[in-house]
Amino acid sequence: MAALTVRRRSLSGREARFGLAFIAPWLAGFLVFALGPMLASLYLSFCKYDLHRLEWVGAENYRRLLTADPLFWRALQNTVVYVAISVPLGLAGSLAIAVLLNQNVRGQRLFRTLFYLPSLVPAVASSLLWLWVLNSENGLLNYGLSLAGLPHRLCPRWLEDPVWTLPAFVLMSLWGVGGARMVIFLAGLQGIPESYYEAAHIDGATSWQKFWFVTIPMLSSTIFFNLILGVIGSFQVFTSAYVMTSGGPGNASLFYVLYLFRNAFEYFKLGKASAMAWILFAVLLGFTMIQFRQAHRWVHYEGGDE
Amino acid sequence: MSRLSPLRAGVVYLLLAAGAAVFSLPFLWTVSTALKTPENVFRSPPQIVPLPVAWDNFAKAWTALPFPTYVANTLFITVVATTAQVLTGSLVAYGFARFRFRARTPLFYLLLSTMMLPSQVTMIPVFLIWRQARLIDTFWPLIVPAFFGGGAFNIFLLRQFFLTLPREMDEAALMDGAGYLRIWWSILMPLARPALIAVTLFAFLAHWDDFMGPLIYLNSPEKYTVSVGLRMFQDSFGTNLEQMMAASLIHIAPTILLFFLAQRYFVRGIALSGIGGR
Amino acid sequence: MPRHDRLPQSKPPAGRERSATCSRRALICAALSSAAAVAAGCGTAGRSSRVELRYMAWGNPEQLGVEQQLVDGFNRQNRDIHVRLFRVPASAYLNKAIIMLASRTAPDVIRIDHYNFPNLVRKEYFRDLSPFADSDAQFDKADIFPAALQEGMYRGRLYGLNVLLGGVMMYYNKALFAAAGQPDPYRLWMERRWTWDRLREAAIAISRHAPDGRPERLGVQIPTFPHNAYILWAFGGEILSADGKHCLLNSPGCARAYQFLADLRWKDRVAPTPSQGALSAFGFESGKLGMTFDWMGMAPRFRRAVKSFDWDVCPVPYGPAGGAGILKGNQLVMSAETAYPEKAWRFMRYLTSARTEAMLYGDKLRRGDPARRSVARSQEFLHASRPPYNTGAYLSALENGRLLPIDARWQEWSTVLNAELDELWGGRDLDAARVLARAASKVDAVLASEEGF
Repeated sequence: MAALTVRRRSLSGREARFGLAFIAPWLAGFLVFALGPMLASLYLSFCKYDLHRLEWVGAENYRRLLTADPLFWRALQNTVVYVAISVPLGLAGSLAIAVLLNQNVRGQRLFRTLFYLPSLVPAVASSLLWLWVLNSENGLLNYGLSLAGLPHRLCPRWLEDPVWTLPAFVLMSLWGVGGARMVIFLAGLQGIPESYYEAAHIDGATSWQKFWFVTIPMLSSTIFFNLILGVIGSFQVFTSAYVMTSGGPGNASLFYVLYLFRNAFEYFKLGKASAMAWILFAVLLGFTMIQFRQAHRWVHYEGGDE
Repeated sequence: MSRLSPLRAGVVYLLLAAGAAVFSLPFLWTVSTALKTPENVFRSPPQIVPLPVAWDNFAKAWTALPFPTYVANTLFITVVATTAQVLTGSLVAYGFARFRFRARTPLFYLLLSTMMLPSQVTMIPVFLIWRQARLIDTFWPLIVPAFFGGGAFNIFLLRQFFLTLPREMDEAALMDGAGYLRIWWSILMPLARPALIAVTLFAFLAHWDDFMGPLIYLNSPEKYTVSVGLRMFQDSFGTNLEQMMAASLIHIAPTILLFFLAQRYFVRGIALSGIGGR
Repeated sequence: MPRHDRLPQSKPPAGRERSATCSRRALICAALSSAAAVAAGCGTAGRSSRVELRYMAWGNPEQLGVEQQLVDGFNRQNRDIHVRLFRVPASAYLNKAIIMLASRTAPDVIRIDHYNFPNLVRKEYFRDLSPFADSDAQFDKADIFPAALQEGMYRGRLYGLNVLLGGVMMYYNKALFAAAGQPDPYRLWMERRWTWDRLREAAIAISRHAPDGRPERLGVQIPTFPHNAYILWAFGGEILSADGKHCLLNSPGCARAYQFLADLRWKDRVAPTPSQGALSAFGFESGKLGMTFDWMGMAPRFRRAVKSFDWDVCPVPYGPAGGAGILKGNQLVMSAETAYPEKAWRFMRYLTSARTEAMLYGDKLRRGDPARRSVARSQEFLHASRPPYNTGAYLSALENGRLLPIDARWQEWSTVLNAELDELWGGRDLDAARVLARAASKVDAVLASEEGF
């Protein structure tokens, strides 16, 4: 018994050394390039800093953000609603597309490329496209809706009406980010051994059952990845709102990072912007840790562990 | 993979065709705009098929800026950084996926946390580090980070894939006396091929499209990248839309080509690597 | 390596070694990328007797081409200086400028959009130009329009030289005016009869709607704040109090002015709504819009894109309280860090000289307006061989234009203001007085709040 413990300990000591050696490149990079700037921004979040004068103000930035800044809450609310709708919809949508693109039919390479095209168009160019698609008078989307029988009067005034602005941004995210998610799902689907489906087939499983009992569990680690990354990424939605609506109409598309950017680079309130960044950091870290704690309930790793 | 029944294949085709039509729209619009004359860009209702076809927009966009230099710069940065990132990133991912050590979970959270702080607030401190190293206006700041794992996104993604691979094979190899590096290179890397291709694509795209990095770190016009050149077509008095779209197409052509070619390897991957028989 | 990294601290010990690897590296990069990069990487050994100055400006490829020609001209004339142009895309210019200024790596001469100048000048990033401007006989300060000079002042000293000055003009489609039987607005303006009421009449006459209510042609495009500030002034309103501490938009004059604009859109239906106007469906180039208000610098773009109808420019209409337009420029500043202030000044003097102005703003390019009276009254500026022909409109805008109340917190309060005004322009609250009352109280709150939080 004792000998066994000793052996395991020495093995785990070796394992730990090798593990650390493998992650060393990242750790070194983190210490050199990331840690300093992160700590610097944490320090700045307790200061008043306009790029010229630096003054320690304690938790004043945090206090004022949380108690006296209605735009902060508006931006947070817009962003949370956006994340809550766009992430689940996006996951479902890109998974569905990936499953279709994983079917064994002729011309699949072409289809995959076509579906991936939107992710390749540079953000500035695709933002201009979306302004045209979402235009409530001459836009393609409302043209489609009116062909489907919806009177012009009842068509949503997408980027003009505060009520429809967030849904419009959700729609754009499905299209733009969808491509990358789809590729990740596709890679995950490629990793599922064919023999599992064959076994299910022999057991008389229907396609739907195969999807639920083979595809989903085997893909759970990919779904988990896309969920975590989707939330982190969506919370930082910025470019489209900056280019297309600059936060409007009213403040309907004032997203968290857009407001942060304005504070940092337009109003030169770097202390306040840093405090905003660290509040977001806390929210995202909390969310991620909860997800990781719960992961063992639904995420299946063939390689065991975690 | 088994062939589908004709009926089911028909349904799949229908769905794929409809989806592809919707999804390729931005691209088609980009092509159409890139071929319009300036007078026709702003016609309403919009001109779908550009007539007359202004092929010279491509020539104009290409010669308006020193694009051959930009393409060469971007290609150099992208190829070096992508290669480094995929290799070091997969090593780090292997470390996180296959080894047990006490600091692993906190370190992994630390890795993920680097994605959670908006870059807007770390931009200036990071810049100061490179200035201190006297490497402003060189390609170094754009390339060096790739040698350190290349960021949380691709490390996390590869870790997820490594975790789905059964451990039996590397344990067997370990018994046979193979070193960890050898297991990483000859067992895990081939098995994770679809994931590696996905990560390579994302890394290529990220470096190819990167705008903020070159904008901040490069000062000499002859070191600029394509993405910076592309933005020049936008000016404070509106955008030269047709030339910008032509330049956009020049810009995305290599990534489309790469994606299309990567398909060949994407389709196979694990099914051929012999793990299926378990 | 930046050739003249003039940081106060001495080189770190490792610096030499690093710079050796760096230049080797630069050579590798260059060999792989292009011959041009070699020239840059290996530095400027060939012209070591010359001082290198860096100059940063934005613009599209065409405009930067002109800028490069100017720089080349200067380099030919000045054997002791070599200026290198830094081209930065306009959409990310401020970002780049801030990082360079904050890290003390800024180029010697920088162009800054005036919207950001009052804020940046307070951070001591720029060098006081008064000693040069006052003592340099070749500069001829007296030739510059007082308003243009005033924009570059901070605490009584000159920090910015005005470049790419411009005002908001009314561009009009002559063909639509003729088809609607409307008299030429510029002729009316010369008789002081071009008023906002006349503009409304013309807009109504020009507009046409299809039977289903969709517009086919519209009279006038309504600009947003601050590009519509002149209507506030024309109706007797003001934006801020003289001391800049209070917002005065909650006044009858301002309410009348903005009500007038909102009614053009939502009552008379002669101005495109935001989505009707989006993506230039009713842009001036489309030929379906009678009038639009925009900066003078739009002329090159309209010259390029408008082929099917005649057009010209006219000053903004008169209102009960007059007809002053907006005047706004951009500032050419010298970095406080520059090691060669005298040489940088010579370059700045060249860029703001009458000869340079005549080239940039004359009939051939029309990128904006001269800040110098002598150029504004010269034949090179007033003669036009292509539209716009009404160059007298430009001259009037220069002589009578007013400056916007751009202060250090302009970006902040104008953003808050525009978010409120969206309600009016978006047609969700059609009572201008009510919208302006809300907006003014929010702007006041910004102005009264402690700076920096």
